[in-house]
This record gives sequence, structure tokens and C-alpha cells, in this order.
Amino acid sequence: MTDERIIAYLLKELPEEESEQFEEQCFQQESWPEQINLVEEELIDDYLRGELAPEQRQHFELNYLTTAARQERVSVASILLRHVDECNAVATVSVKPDEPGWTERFRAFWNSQALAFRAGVAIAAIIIIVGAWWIFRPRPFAPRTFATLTLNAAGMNRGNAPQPGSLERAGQTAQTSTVLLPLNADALRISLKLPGGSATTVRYRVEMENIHAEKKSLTIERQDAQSVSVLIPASQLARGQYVLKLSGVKDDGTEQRLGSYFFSVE
Amino acid sequence: MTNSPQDSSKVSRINEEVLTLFLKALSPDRDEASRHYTSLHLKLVGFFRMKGVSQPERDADTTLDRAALKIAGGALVPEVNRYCFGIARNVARESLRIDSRESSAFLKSLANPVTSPEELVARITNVLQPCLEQLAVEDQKFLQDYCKDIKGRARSVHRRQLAEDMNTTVLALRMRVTRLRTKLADCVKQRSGNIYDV
Repeated sequence: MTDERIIAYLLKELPEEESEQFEEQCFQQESWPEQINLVEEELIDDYLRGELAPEQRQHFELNYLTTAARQERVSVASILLRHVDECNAVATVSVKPDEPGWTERFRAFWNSQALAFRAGVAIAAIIIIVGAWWIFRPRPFAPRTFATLTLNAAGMNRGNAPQPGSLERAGQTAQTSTVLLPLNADALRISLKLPGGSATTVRYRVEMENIHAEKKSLTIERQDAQSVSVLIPASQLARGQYVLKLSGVKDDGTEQRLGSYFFSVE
Repeated sequence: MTNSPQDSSKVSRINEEVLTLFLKALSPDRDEASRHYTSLHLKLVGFFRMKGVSQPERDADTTLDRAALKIAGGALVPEVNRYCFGIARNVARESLRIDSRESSAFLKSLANPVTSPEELVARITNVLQPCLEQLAVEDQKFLQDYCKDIKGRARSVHRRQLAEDMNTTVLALRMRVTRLRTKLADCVKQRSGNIYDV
């Protein structure tokens, strides 16, 4: 029983017959394989840490997160990881190494080599690094298909309630601020209607926050006098509630919150 | 005559006679049969947990009760293990159908409207904190080290190093972290009933 097969079972990537065989195989063992729990936990962590491939992420959301017990497992894991991250961020560890580290050991080795050898290795290293950079260089995200969501700032028209946006997907228009998965597009374009009085601002900043208060800055795709648009790749959309916080950046660098825009992904 | 997975009042209704017949079907030796029964129960709990049902222990009881009643009723069962597995599949289907209509107290507490994400986080943290404090300090520290946000291959390297430092294997660490997290999750679930009071 491999970790890969367990993951494939949990994500329902195995054909039905094979899936039944897998269950039977587990049951035939003398005791229930503990490996399943370990792999499941790591799968959840990978999902929460954004380490799953887009296809696996989609399978996780569609095929794994189908029961309340599993949703609960993911929620509890998310709280724990958040706590761990906070603790690790606060902890300041100062370690004074007793022995030379690998950098010191490498430097000593390097200095003891002949000049010609060092020059040859340096050139080879530069070629490898440049080659690797060329192959793995970050390429700009260039989606070709979009789903579009238009949002008004919460409290613009009615009390403090979030205003419904208009979701246009696959030629269909619905008056809702809910985005449905799968998106059937490369990215979600969200157009944020600017509240009155903010038209003089020349620079904007948009921050996305989920219910776990995880924040992420979004790049402004375009802006005009009425709205500001951002793009979210489909692979980064997980089910949940989100708020986009729009701020205007003044010439002196100070920021002013212009509005909050709510939407949910289901 | 079968008991529903949700009907806990019927779970332990099998009588001594039915249980004795079931144990005999597991093994003619009483002690051996008890060991089989316990092992079967644990396997069923593992199976139901993997299926994602909300109460694996209850469903394991239901499965064994149904199997015992069938055997006492004269069903010919050449292989009890396999027979229970067949029943377990049906129980899992029923349970998941019922679960889909109900949400856990914990998820309900998350779904309860909050004024801000910060409020939600504070609410959850208030539940998590006492549960974490129930763990030994070294367990808390271990969880913190093991679950560090390290990406890709560096994570495996980090965990191998951690195992080496602790003079154990990565598998042993994985098992330890899973047990700690299960303990934490049980505590969080238990306390989530009081989530509104925190």
C-alpha cells in the first residue's frame, strides 16, 4: 500500500472497482493500516498549505470535502496550522553552531583547490544556474478564459450588508455574490465598484482575506474612474467566504480604506 | 429489525445469547473470539473514519450488532470478517446519507454569522488554546516543530533531521503527530458545543 494509492483513493481518482479492492485490502489486514490516517492528515496539510497540484486540489474540493466529518477535520487542521505558524513567527531562535556549518566547510575545501579547478567549477556553476533559472523562471500568469464577478462595497447602498454582485459565467448572469466551483475558466476577474469620492486616488491596493484571516495581496489588473479589477487564478479559489479590502494609496504613501467587498465560493 | 446508524438507543440491544453465538462464529475459543471481536471493531472504526462518517465508533457497533443478529437468526456466514465488511459498506452509505442532512456542532459554530473574520478566528482560538494546553509542553513544541510551514523537499529534509535529533524514525514521528492531532481534534470537537460561551 503506497501513499500515492491512498491519496488516489481519498481523492476518488481510482476507478470504482479498484476503490472497492482498496477497501477490501485494508480490511483484510490484521489491523487497520495506520498509514491511512497519516497520509490523510498530510493530504489535508498539503491542501491547506497550497502544495497540491491544481488537479489534485480540485479533486480534494470536489471528492474529498464531501462529508461533514472531513470538513471538520480540515477546519481543525487549518486552525492548528495557523496557530503553529503564529508561534513559529513569534519564536526567535538564536543558535550558535559549535561546529563549522556546510558553508564554512565548503569555503575551506574551495580555498585548498588549484585556481584552474576553481575557475572551471565556477563557470560550470554559472552555466547550470543560468540554465536552471531560464527553465524555471517565473512566468507571468496569463489566463485565457475568465469568469467575471462585479462587487459593490459593503454598506454602499443598504446598511452594512454586502451587496450582491453580478456573476457572469458561461454566458449566464446571476444576481449573486457567490462563485460556483468548478469555475470553468482560467481565472476569476473581480471588478470592484469604487465608492463615491475615491475617484481622485491614483493608486489602489487590494487585499483578500478568508475566514481564517489569511491575507493575500492581489495585483491590480486594471483600473478606471468607476472600478478596479483584480484577477484570481482558478487554482487558488477554495470554497469559503472572502472579503476583498480595497485601499487607496495617497502620494505621501499613507493608505485609506475605501471599502470591503464580500463574496463566497461554493 | 435492523438498527439505524443514527439510533444509538438500539446499538447495545443485542442480548447475551446473540453475542455468544456471534463470538462462537468468530472462534470456538472464548478468549480468542474476544480478541477477534476487539480487532474487528477497531478495523471497522478505521474503515468508517476513512469513509468520512461523523461517528465511526457508533457505526462500528451498529455493524457488529447487525452481523450478530443475522448470525443468531441462522445466516450462514463462512467468513465473519468479510461478512462484516459487506454490512459495514451498507452502514457507511446510510450514515453518509444521514450525515449529509446534518452538520456537526463544530461546523455549525463556524457557519454562525460573525461580524468579521477576526472574530471567527478569536472564537476558534479560544477553543483550541485550552486543548493545546492539555498537551505536555514537549508535545506542544514537537507539534510546532513538525508542522512548520516548509515547502517542497525541504520539508522532508526538516522532518528527517527532526527524527535524527530525536533518535527515532520519520514514521514514528508521523504516528506521534497523528495521535496528538487526533487528541486535539477530539478536544476541539467536544468544546465546540460551548463555542458560543467562550
